[in-house]
Amino acid sequence: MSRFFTETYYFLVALEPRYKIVLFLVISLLILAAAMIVIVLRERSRKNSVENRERRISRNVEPIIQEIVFSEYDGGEFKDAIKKINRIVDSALYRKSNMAILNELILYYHRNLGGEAFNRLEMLYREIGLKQIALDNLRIGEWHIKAINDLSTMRMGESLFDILQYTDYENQNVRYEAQYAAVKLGGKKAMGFLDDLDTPMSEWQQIRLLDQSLKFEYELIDRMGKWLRSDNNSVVVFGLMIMRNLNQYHEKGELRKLLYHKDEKVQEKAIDTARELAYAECLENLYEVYELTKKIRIKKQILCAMGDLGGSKEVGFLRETIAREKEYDLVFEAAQSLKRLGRRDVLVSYKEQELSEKGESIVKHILDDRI
Amino acid sequence: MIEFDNQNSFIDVLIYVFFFVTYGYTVFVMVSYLVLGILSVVQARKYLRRNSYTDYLNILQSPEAPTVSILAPAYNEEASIIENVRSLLSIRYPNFEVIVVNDGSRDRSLIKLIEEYHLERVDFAVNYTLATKNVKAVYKSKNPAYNNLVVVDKENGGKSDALNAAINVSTGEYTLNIDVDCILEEDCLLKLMKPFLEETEKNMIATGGVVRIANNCKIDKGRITEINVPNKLLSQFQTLEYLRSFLLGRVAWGSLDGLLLISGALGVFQKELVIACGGYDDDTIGEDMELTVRMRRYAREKDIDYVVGFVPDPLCWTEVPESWAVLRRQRNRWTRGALETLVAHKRLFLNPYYGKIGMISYPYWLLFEWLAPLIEAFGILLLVLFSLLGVINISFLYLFIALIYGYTVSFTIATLYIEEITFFHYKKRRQLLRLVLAGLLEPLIFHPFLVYCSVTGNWDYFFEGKKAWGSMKRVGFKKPSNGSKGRKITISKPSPSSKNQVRSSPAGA
Repeated sequence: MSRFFTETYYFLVALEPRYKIVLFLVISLLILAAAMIVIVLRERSRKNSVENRERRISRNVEPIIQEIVFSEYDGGEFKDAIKKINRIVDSALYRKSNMAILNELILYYHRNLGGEAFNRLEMLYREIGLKQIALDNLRIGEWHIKAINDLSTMRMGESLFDILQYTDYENQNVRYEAQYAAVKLGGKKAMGFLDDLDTPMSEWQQIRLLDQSLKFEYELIDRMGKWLRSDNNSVVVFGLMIMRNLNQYHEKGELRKLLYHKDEKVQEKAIDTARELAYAECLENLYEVYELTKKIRIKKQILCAMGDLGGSKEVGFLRETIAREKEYDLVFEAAQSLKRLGRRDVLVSYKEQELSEKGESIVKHILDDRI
Repeated sequence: MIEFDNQNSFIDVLIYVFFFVTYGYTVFVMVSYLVLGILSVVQARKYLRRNSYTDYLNILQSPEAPTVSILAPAYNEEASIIENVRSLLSIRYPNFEVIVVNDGSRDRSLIKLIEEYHLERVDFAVNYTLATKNVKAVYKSKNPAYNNLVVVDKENGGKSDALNAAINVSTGEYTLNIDVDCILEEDCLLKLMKPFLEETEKNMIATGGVVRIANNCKIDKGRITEINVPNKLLSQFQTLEYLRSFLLGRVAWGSLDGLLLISGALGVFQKELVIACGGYDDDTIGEDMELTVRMRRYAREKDIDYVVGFVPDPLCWTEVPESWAVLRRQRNRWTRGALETLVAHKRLFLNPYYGKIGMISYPYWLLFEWLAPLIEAFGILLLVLFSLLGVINISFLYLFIALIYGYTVSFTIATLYIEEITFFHYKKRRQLLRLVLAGLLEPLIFHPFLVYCSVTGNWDYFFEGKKAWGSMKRVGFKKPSNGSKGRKITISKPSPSSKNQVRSSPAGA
């Protein structure tokens, strides 16, 4: 055996350097491949052991949580229950990850329960120290998003001021999570951060914030004007979204100005908002914008608004548009608006007249109620 | 490596240059894969971390979600069309329509659709913004439950033509272009739309997602219920290939904003831009890649500050060929498709005006996707010749081949490791080991076959001028055997090739 190794050694030593390099690389790669297979298998074992631990902790802790949530515990019993949970999660090696498992368990229950159970879970979250862990994580800065997410999910209103600091944070993900949490915890009062927000909000973020805002009870949002006047277009768009979804009529003057906004998205949203709020007084402005703009999307939006806000004057305009316009989308939108204005008769008369083949098919399409 | 004569002849120099180029090229390919792999891992981890707190319920309930039209061209898909359309209709998204285009099928696809979904012909005014073959009729359902289903019956014109017809009929701001036989994840659209809604600085023009292999997976009511590694070795090879291509390749290119291909099996596009740049090109068989490249080119030429996104989540499941003959036709077609696009957009090559796609993506695709198999085939032929002539040092060559083999196997195993720490779909240990075994065999069996397909694809393109699609006839999803839930995908034997088959590359990997 030793002879074999000696011979191999001398063979390798005698090799040319380029052979040595390639051979070294081949052997390294094979070792690397083998090591990776081992790592993959070990990773599986690790995952399995974590899952087992999770299952074990859940099995032991869940009945206690359920009892806290569903029965009338007094102060003493509550403390005993917490002690029991602490004993289960306590471990020299795994305390941190056990607490994380417990955290997820409580969050899960919290998401799926309401009423008194909801409040008891919040109390448990505080008492067992999970709230403190989240706040520490937030202050240390390693787990900003997770901490903010946990605190807002558990509705820890007292941490609002800690979270508000991050609503204009440089990291976009942290900033978004903090904005969402602020609205969730502080309601419309916490939306003050929008007043002087410099950074753009994505449409996704606007939709998230709107989703939270829709939970507000109806009340006047006096900040609306500031948002609509903002230099930050994403704040303006969000303001318009709030305006129409929460029926905030009081800033109609600002809305009228926004119909002329230079940003196409803002302009489009403003027209749509005017339509949804049935703001018929702005029809004259819409005519003006229609003449000024060259953008088909905006024109389409205006024709659509006329179908909801218009009267006899608009019927004339829409008729004229069908006859005059060559753009398919505009003719289509005008015909649709006529139908919404209840003037099928106009469309039927068009059908009977000699229209272009395209115009005729559009009118037929609009008159077909099955589409 | 080379035994020179005392006097260096011209041939000696040529041989020396040949080896220098071959070895250099190989090392460069290996290094580039490594860099892309590292980038992908970083990106996939970042994506998973960022999305672990995403609550899609926000958008699912939102009245402000943009409208999306799902475009599904179908040709002779009677075996699976009902099930597939049902799967499309049950996608989770607040505001979408499904447009199925029957591209002149010669089977009962349309009749089945009419019967199952209670369709009736309507007076739909088709706006031929994009020129297509004649639309014979448009159908809508009498049943309000299928209110968002539109079926277009048109003369056969090929996949691109069918997609263009669907675009003409669509009303959404965005289009999700898919193969009708693909199985989409329920939240596929939510995840694909997220990059569009998240982008604040640039104009997101398209996003793609990861396509995975559904062979041997259990399917119930148009949804994947159990993920398995395919039984056949050929499909296992393709599983590894798809994993590498999507998990390591596309994710990295996506992070670099250098994607040249959004797979025809799954991609969301900004409709306005698709129309502006002329829609799908009827004259190409690689229509997915061609459109992506054209859109990027158009955006650049119109000074639109754009970006193309990629979602690392596996969102779409597709069946892959289980016979070598069908696979050969498919890969031959992919080669020709890519080649057509490269030729059509040759202006991009090393053109700094087009930024990353001109300076990095296009040259990379040209050198490492198109040329690699040709160089490899040429290299092998020369090596055989040189070894017969005795002008090369065989032992060094063997060692170098061993290095390539070791690298390929390591790379495959690294891919499996990355899958393990990111999406972790193959949960059974036995399945993992089967993939490892396939990874050991792949460079010896599958890779040479791909090189052969690519060479024949080039031959067909340059010397035969072929444009036809290969075919992959489906028998639909089989009912599960007793005692097992769900269905397993099976693929029938291929039918003879037919012209204008509406079937895109499952992945365009």
